[in-house]
Amino acid sequence: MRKIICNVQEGQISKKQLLELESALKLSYAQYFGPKPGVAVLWSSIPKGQGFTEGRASKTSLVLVEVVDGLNQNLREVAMLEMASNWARIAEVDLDHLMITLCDETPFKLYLQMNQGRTRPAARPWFKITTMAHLFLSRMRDGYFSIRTNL
Amino acid sequence: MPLYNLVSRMPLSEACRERVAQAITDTHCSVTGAPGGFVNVVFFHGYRLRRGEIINVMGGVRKGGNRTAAVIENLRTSLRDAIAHAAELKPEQAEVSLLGLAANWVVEGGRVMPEPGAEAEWLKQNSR
Repeated sequence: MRKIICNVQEGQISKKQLLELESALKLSYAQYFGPKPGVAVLWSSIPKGQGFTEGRASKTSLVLVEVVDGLNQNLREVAMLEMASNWARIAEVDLDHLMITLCDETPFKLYLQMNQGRTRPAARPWFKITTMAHLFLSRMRDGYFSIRTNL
Repeated sequence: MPLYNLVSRMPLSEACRERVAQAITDTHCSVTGAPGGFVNVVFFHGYRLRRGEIINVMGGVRKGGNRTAAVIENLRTSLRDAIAHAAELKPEQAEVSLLGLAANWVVEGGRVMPEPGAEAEWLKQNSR
């Protein structure tokens, strides 16, 4: 299953908007890339004071979408632009406050590996276990997968 | 893009985060020529980093265009030094790694991002 990771500045969107954004992302993903292998949307809230754009407090949402290696560029651009437009409409934000990346699978996975690799080796199993546990607990409690930001 | 994801074991103070975010922005812009409005930085803490590391930064940056391997390496080491200085650390206590992504994989401001080096024309058309 592929992933979409959405980093949103704390307090910027409501839960209702989040769930609507998730539906829209999944719909666009299936429409452009097919129903298989499917996509999971993971949410991360950037706490106030911890997100910056141009050195100032940020209002920018950062969305990273995993796609097949070598995706046709025309298709990639059409999909990105639609996802951006939907996001701006649902979240009621300016397009200037949104960055969407449709990233080939290989560098996407490398990015996640690099992130895990930042933790010292002895701490990695605990990091993985607690990350997975938080994902599933949040899904059960809130209806969506959420990633821990500050550990 | 770029997005710099900075993690530390302990939370950094508000003042330190502001200094580091500004240092990252200034360094990225001076090495690459990119406009500051492109530069995003996020801070997280509670990470058990490798021994001797206080700050670890992963950066997703546009590749290609006028960004040679030498430019990217210069960016990486310049960022490490600037971040360490802003956070009042020794350079070896800050680690920076960069992942290059194609510019046309990214949409900002409702438009596909320009190749590195072509920002001026893109901004003219996008009037930020």
